Amino acid sequence: MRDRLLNGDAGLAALLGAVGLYWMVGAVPLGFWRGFAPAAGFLPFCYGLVLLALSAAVLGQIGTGRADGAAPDQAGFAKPVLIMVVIGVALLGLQSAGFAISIFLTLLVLFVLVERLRFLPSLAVTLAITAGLHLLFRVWLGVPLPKGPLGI
Amino acid sequence: MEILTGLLDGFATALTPTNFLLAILGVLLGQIVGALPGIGPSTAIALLLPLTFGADPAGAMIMFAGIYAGSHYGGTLTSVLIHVPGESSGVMTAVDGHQMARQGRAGVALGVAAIGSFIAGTVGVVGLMLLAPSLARLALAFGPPEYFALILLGLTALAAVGDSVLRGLATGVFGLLLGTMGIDPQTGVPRFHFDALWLLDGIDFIVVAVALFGLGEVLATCNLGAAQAVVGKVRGVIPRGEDWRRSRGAIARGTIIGFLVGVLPGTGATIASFVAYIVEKKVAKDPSRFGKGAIEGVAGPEAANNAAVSGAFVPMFALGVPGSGTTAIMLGALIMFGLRPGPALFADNADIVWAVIASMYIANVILLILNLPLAGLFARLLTIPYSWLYPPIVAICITGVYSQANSIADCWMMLGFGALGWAMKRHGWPAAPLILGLVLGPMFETALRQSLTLSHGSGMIFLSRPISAVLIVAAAVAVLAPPTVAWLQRAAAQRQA
Repeated sequence: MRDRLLNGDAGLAALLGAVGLYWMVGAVPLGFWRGFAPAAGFLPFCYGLVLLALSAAVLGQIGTGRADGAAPDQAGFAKPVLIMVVIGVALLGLQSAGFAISIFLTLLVLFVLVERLRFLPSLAVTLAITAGLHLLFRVWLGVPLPKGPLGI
Repeated sequence: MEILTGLLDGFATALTPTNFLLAILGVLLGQIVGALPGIGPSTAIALLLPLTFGADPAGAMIMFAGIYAGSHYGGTLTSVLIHVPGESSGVMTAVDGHQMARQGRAGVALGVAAIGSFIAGTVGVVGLMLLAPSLARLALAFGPPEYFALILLGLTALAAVGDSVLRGLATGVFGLLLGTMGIDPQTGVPRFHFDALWLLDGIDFIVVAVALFGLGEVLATCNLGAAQAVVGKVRGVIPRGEDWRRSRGAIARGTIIGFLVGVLPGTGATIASFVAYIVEKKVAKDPSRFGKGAIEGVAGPEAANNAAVSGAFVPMFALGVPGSGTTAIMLGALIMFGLRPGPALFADNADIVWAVIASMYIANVILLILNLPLAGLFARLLTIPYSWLYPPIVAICITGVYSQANSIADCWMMLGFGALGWAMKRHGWPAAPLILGLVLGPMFETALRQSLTLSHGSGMIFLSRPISAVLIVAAAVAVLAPPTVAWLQRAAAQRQA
C-alpha cells in the first residue's frame, strides 16, 4: 500500500486535493450569497469541495489497489525533464535574445544534444523551421514577436 | 422561389473571378491560421480588416467567411497529426483523431474529417438559407436558464471522456475551478489571481490546451526517439466499409447538433463539438472504444464544428447578434462597410447576404477538393522519426502561445501545465475534461447567477421554462441512465443465475 501511495498517481490526486482545499479557503472571504444570487465565492467553494472529495476518492482507490483506468506509463524521466529545462532556458532568453535566436538555439539543442542527431541535417532543419515561423508569424501575420540585439 | 432567386444571384456574385479568388484565399488562410495554436479565425479577420477599408464589402465578407470555414479544418490537421488543437473546436477531435494517427489511420481520420466537414457545412448552409428567420426566433427564446441547462448537459461529458470516471470528473472540476480565476464577471471582484496582473484576465484555454495536448504529449512520447510516431502502416484516406458505416451516423448527428448549437449566440463550434462527442459516446454500442481511436469520435465533432459555422451566421444575419467570437468581428466589419446588421440586412443588402451564403457552398467544395487528396500526404508526416518531429512541435507551441497575447507569462504557464499534462498522461488522467471545464465554467457560472437574479433566488426558473426543463432532464438522464442500466442488468443476471 505504501508503494501504491508513493507514486505520481497519488501525487497528482494529492496536488488536486490541495488545490481544492486552497480554493475553498480562498472563496470564504469572497462571500457565498448576495441578494438573490450566489456571490463570487459560491461556485469556487463548491468546486473546491467537490475536487477535494474526488481527490480523496482517487487516493482511496489507489490505496486499496482498485484499478480504474490505464496502467501508468513506465517510460523514463530524464529526457522529458531535459526538454523542460531546454524550454525553460529558451523562455528566459526569449525577450533578451529575441524570438528567432531563442527558437533557433532551442531547436538545435534538442536535435543535436538531446536527440544526438547529425549536426548538418539538424542545422538545416533548424534554419528552415525558424525562418518559416518568423515569416509566418512576424512577417505575414504581423505578430510582434520579441526582437533581440540582431533585430530579429 | 424568392430564396432560389436570391441564391442564384448570390452565386452570380460569388463566382466572379475576383470573388472566387478571394474565397480560395480565405479558405487557405483559414486553414493556416486554424493550424496555428494561438492564432484563430477572429485574429486573422481582425488583422485583415484594415486592409479591406474601401474595398467591395461582398468580396471582403466572402474572404472572411472562407477564413472561418477553413480554420476549423486547419485545426483538425494539427489535432490529428501532432495532438495540438489549433482551435478550441479541435480539442475533442484530438482525443480520438490522434490515436487513429498513431495506429496508422491518420489518412482515414483526415479523410472522414474532410468529408464530414463538407457534408455538415453544406447542410448547415442549406439550413441557414431556409431556416434563418425561424431559428433566429428560437435563439431569442434562449435566456440565462436555457444556457445554464445547455451547459449543464455539456458538463455531463466530464465523466464520459477517458477511461477513469473518477479521474475524469476530478480533472473536469479542476478545469471549472481554473475558470474562476481572474475578475468575477458579475461583481468585478478579482479572484484567485495570486496578485499577478496578468492573471486578472484569467487563464486562456488555448494556453492550457496547447500545454496539455501539445507539450504534454511531447514529454510523454519523447522517449520514442528514432521510432516513428505511427505504429502501423499509413493507409488510404477514404473511409470504407465499417469506417463509413460508423461515420455516417456520427456525421448526421454532428451536423444537426452543430447547427442548432451554433445558432445560439455565444456558444459556437467548441460547445457543439463537445456535445457531439458526448452523444456519439452515449449512442455507441461499445463506448470503451472512445479515446482509443474511435472514428465516430472524429466524425461527430468535426461535422458539428463545421455545421456550427453556418449556424453562427443565423443570429448574425437575422438578428444582428454574433453567434460566436468570429462572427462578432465580422459584424464589426459589416458596420465598418456601412451596412446595418439585423433583420433589415436581408431586405436592404440582400445581394451581400446571398453572396456570402453562396460563397459558403463554394468554400465547402474548395475545402473538400483541397484536403482530400492532401490528407494522405499530411498523414505521411507521421512516418518521420519522432526525434525529428517533436522539436518543431515544441517551437510551434512556444510561438503559438506567445502570439496569443504577446505574454511571456503565458509561455511559463504553458511549461507548467505541460509538466502537469505529462504527469496526467503518464498516469491515465484524461486532459479533455479539464479543457471542457475551463471553457464551460465561466459561462456556467454567469448563466446560473443571472438566472437566479432574474428569478429572485428561486431555482424553479430552471424547471418552469420548457426548453430549460427539457435540457435539465436530458442532463439527468445522461448522468443517471448508465449506472441505472448497469444495475438493472446486474440484477437481471443475478436473477437468472
